[in-house]
Parts: sequence; structure tokens; C-alpha cells
Amino acid sequence: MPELGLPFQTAARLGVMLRSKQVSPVELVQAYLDRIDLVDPKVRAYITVCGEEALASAREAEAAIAQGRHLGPLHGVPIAVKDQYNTRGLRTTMGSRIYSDHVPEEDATVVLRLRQAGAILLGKLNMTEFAFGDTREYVFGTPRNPWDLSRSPGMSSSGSGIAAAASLCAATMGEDTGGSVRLPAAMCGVVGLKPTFGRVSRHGVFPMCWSMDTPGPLTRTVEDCALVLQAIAGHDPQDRLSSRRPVDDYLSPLKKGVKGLRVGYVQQITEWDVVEEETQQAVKASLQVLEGLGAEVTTISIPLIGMAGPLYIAICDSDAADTHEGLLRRRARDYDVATRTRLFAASLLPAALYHRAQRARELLRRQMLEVLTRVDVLVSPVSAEPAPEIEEVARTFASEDDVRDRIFGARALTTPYNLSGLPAVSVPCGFTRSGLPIGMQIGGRAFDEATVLQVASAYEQATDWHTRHPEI
Amino acid sequence: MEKGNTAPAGEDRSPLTRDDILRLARIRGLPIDESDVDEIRYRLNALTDALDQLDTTLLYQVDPTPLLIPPEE
Repeated sequence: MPELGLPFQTAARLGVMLRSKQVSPVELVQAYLDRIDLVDPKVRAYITVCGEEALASAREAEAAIAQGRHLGPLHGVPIAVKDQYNTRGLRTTMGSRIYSDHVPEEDATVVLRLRQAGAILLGKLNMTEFAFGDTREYVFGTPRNPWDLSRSPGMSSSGSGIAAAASLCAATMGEDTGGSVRLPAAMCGVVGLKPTFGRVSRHGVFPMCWSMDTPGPLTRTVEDCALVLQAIAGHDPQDRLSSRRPVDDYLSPLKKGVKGLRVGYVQQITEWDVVEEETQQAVKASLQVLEGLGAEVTTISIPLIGMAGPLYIAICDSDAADTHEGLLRRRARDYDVATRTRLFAASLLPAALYHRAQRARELLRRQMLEVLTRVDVLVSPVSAEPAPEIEEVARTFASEDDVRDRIFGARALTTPYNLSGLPAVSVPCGFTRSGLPIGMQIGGRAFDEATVLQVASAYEQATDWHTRHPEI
Repeated sequence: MEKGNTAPAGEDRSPLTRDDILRLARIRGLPIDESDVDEIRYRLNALTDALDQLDTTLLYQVDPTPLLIPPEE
């Protein structure tokens, strides 16, 4: 028996234990259900737990494995997905009271692929309303950071970050339109990957912004992240914008190290006055670790990157305003006030400014692609600050300056990868003096998740941040 | 490629007032409540102000295409 209990093991380790029959899928699912009963009322990671269905799937997996019909490294591994993913016959709320009784007739492609890989769905995870970033009143309970229950777990895949960090399942899926996988990963101290736009199907995922929505895993280790990506990546005829490019092997490069790789340090958004000192220091110390492992670190410049926040809001919110227009007109009062005011503001944005933002997006993308001809990956912080107090996140905006301070600067760190469609991962890189996790962002070229994960894995193996667990 | 449109940024744009927001809401038929107006105004004014600061001489060298990585890129 491992030192830590079963729920704390990595998905990769559990997969090995299941295959070698050291543990049965039924025993494992029950261990997670017991832990959810114990811990979830404190952190509210789950909106829906489907215990009976999970146990039934576990019994099927147990029989299959006993008969030698093993489906791969995720067979029998319990997972959970953000409540933005359609699940056949299982309530899917988008974190909204408007969809509180919505039961889809089919699985999202990601959910289907995870089931085909043998993973067992434990339930649906809490999220901000419709994946917007700053919900003030949660319909299904306020999600709380497992490292400090008075603090936010990050948004919008809040439950995914919590469930991975608090070991309420072996692996989770979130969705990242402007940082919604990487921010909760950073604030909860786990790994979160936003793949290249088009690498993973969006079919069956409730849309926020059609040109930026990207499904991605949140897990306790980089290896687990690669395992999940391997299962879900690839073309889907039901998502016209999913790529036909062959899927790489994401697991083999994890042990290659970083010797000779070129790391671009994005100094202008790391040593920025909106980024807290402890975060700056943690990222700079991480660069020294990578240098010590043989990477070549150079400082690079991306002139438009500081403008990414407002560009993202202009484009994403305008697209979302189109998606929500009918519902918003009919049921405005059923939206959270933060979602509602954000959508109404976008509804009034002049079209000329929307197009100006699109031009700037194209310029920013060109700048990022040019830099990535000179370096292999880019490094910067994920979040300007560690997990904020829940009350602070829920505060009404008091002025235009308040909007600039709380939204535009902070969003400039993650949104460049959404605006450019490039992959980026958040990996734990330290803790503040008050014990809150800090995340380092490693971004890369289009469809080069393998190198991004390779660098993240080398850093992870050289440090011990990922071995810490919150005491709840 | 140089584009013909070199529209200036909106240096002359005035911040929207509460009345402006309510008037625009009526024109567009949006059910905006009085209680939401200030927050909508702050969000919209901050956004338009930020976008007005972009250097348009650079911007009009590119088309306003949304990102689409070709599937085979």
C-alpha cells in the first residue's frame, strides 16, 4: 500500500495499480466517493456526483480487466469534468440556474473519448456561470480554495482545480477561453494545460468564444496531464475547426530533459507592477532551475502583450454577447450580476472597436509566432497574484480604474495564448509566505504541446512543489 | 500590405454617462436595469478607452481576421 491513501495517487500510478490488480476499480471509485463525502462540503468542487453510475462503470471495468481486456493507462481511473461538458443523461448546468435542470442527450466528444479510454466519470465540477470569470453568487455553492478556504480557487474551471488539488478524483477536465484552466491550476497548485486551438474538439462544450474555447486537463502531475491529452486530442468531424494534424506522442518526451532547449523569458509581463513580488521571484527562481538543467534562457520582447487583456475582453465578450443575446433578453435577471453587466457592456461596444481589437490580435499573434522562431518555449507567471479573497473577487466594480486594475492587467498574463491559439501549461513553481501556490506558465508553438510538457516535466522533476497536498 | 483605412483613434470620444447607457439600451431593446447601469458604464468606458490607445498606424497594416490556425498548420 502506498504511503498516502489511494485518492492522493497520480492517475498514472493508479493506472498501473489497476492493471496489475493491486487495486480494483470498484475499490478506487468507492475511495473517491468517500473522500468526496468528507471533503466536498467544505470546498464545493462538485455540482453533481454520479456515484451509482460510477460504481456500475467500475464493476464493468473490473470485469474487463479481469478478462484481460485492458483499454490503456486510464482504464478504471476515476475522473471528473467541468459542468460545461455535455454528459449523456447527466445534468449539465454551465453553473447557471437557467440550465439547472438541463440533461443532454449525448456526451461531449472529450467525455466520450475519456470513456472510450476506460476512464470512469465521478461527476460534474463547479464553475463560474457560463465560464465567465467573476461570478459573485454561485448557484451550486461557492467553490473554495483547498489551501485557504477563505480564498478563491481561480476561475472559471474552479471545481476542476479544487478536485485535482484536494484529490477528489484522479484527473479533471476544464475549459480555457482566457486562462480558465491555467488560473485555477496555478491558484490550487496543480498542473493545467491549454492545448493549441483545434487540438481538442469543442463539440458538446457550451461555447463562450468560438475562436478561443479550448478544452484542457487539470491534474496533479505533468505526466497525468500528458496521459489525459493523449486520450482526448485529435480530429473530430463534429468540430469543423479541429485539426487533422496527427497527434504527437506526449509521454515519451517527458523524460528528455531541457538540455539545449531555448527558453524565452517574457520579462515585460513578469517584472510588471501588476505582478506581486513573490510571484516575480518564484518565476525568476524557476528560470534558474531550468538554466541549471541545461536550458538556454534569453529575455524576449512581445510589444503588444501588455494590451492582451482589453483585446481579449473586446473579442471574447462580444462573441459571448452574440451567443447569449436571446437568453439575456428573456431572462436577464436569472444571470449573475457580473455575467449580466459584462454581456450588456459587450453588447454596446462599437463594431469598429471590435474590429480594431481583431487587428491588434493578429499583430500580437504575429509577434508571438516571430519570437517562437528564436526560442522553443516562453516563460512567465500565470497569475498576477496568488488566490484572492473570495469577498474581493465578488466586489462590485466602483470605477473605470477599478475595471482596469482588476481585469485588464491580470488578463494580460494568460490571454496572449488564447488570442494567438498557442498552447500553454501552468506548473506549480512555489508557495507564498502565507502558503498559497504560485504557477509558472510555459507556452510554445502551435501543436507543440510535447515540448511544452517536456519543459514542465523537467522542472517538476527537479522540484518538489507537486508533492505537497493541502490539509483540509 | 498598407490599408487605405487610417481611421484615427477615438481621442474625441467622451466617456458614456448613465443616461447614455440607458438610451443605448432602449435603442437596442436591451432590458438593462437602473441598478446595473454604473457597472456597465465602467466596464464599457474602460474598454473603449483601452482600445482607443492602440497605435492605429500599425493596426491598419493587417486585416482584422479572427484567429484561425489552418487545420494543417
